[in-house]
Amino acid sequence: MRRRSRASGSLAPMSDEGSTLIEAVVAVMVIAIAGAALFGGVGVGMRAFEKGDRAAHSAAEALMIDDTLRERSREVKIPYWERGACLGRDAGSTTVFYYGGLKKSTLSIAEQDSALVLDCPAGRSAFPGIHLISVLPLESGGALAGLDVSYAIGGRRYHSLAAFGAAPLAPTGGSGSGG
Amino acid sequence: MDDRGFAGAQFLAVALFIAAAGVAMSLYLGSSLAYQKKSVDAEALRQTLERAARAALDLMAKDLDEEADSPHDPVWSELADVASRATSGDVGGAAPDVTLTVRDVSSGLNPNFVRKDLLEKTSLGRLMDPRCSPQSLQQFREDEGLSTQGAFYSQFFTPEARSLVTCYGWANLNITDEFVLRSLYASLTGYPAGAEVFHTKVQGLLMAKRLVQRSELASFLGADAAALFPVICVEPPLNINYVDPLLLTAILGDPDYGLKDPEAHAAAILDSRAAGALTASDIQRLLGVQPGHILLQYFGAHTWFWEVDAQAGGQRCSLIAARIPSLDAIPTSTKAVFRVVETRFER
Repeated sequence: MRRRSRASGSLAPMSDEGSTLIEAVVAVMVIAIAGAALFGGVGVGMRAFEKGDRAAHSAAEALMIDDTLRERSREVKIPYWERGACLGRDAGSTTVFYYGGLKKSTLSIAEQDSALVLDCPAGRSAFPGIHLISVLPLESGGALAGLDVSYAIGGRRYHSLAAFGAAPLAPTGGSGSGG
Repeated sequence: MDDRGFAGAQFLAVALFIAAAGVAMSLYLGSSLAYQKKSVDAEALRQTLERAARAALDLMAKDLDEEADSPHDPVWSELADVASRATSGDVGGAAPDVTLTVRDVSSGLNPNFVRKDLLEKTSLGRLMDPRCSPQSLQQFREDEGLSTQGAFYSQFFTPEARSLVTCYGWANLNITDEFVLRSLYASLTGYPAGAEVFHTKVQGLLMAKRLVQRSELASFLGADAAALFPVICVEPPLNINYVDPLLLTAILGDPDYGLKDPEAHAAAILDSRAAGALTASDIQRLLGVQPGHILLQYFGAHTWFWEVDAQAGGQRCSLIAARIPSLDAIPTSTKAVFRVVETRFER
């Protein structure tokens, strides 16, 4: 950069030191602004990541609960002739008979010590921090065919529809066609 | 120090930090997505297998021979086509190699319904474990209830006999244990007092040695017919075209049924069914009995419960489908109508 000399009107070279200082100040300011923006961005990113992580964690947990519920329900095999009561309720616990096809063998679903608990002869599965909202019967043609289980994970509500492996036949008046 | 170099180092450090965070995030998300993908893929294959099995059932409902179910039915040759049609384009665009198999699961000895007399008077008693008796089986059913799971009765039969045992079938009123009929009545109607009345009616039939014919069934079942039928019916449970020779010979040999030379009759039936499907009228002719004979309550030409099995990629889906008989004295249609009563998945 050059400037015009007042005395002679000729051009003289500008001082390199002044130039370096201004450039350094500008550079530091740019870095500071960029750093602040970056820091803010990283903060926003981290918060978004944490939020996403929580949602992903809830979804993964819901997926695991859904898998377990479906797997356990598939083992409930109510014979095609059984139209009696196969579902019992007692103090927040829901019990289904005919686990593994045996009348006296049960699958129970309950909330115990702030955990969703599935209990059956195959084992006990507990999911801590899950609030059980409801367990409703799923019906097909008037016969019990599965369970509709609602639960909450970290304030989010989830829903699992779990069909039994075998369900009673509807009375002939309600029987459908093939398949 | 050169400021430009310093700024470059800072930028590099921040970029490295962001890159490291990105890698960590992607690894974490990757493992989550891998679990999700595995779960979604398994579910997709499960649905594909179920669809293939249901397509086979649709084919059977449409094309099964109306007079008799047998291994000679041309419908079985169409199963492979059904599997490929039902699954083309599934699971990532590629059709999985689904194997479909169908088998009769009701033409066996049904421990839920069998009368103890049959086990006591015929060679079927030899199928029982020596530590058990027909009486103990009857008591077990009273105490523990009935089940569709063969393992429930495994203690009562020898290991060799278990392949002849099935828990699927309709309860033929004329050949089912009277206490089982009482229990079924209670399960189907939820009315135990009515079950006692029904039991008395059944005892009346037994004492009079009278068989209820198809034309009388609706009136015999009375107001509860809609609830009791088809579980309680008068359909013969054993398909002559599939029944095991040992069961066939043993039942024909029941001394109460008065069939002379049961082995010869069994041999004639086995020879005939090897040549082609046997119909209800063929059975009567081959046995040389009058219409209404009790042996015709055991042996018919239809299979009432089928197992349709679809397998691929290490997974298996099995449907147990029940064929619904007609309550009409003279059925208006002999087309098969199926209902799925059990679904099993294995992987």
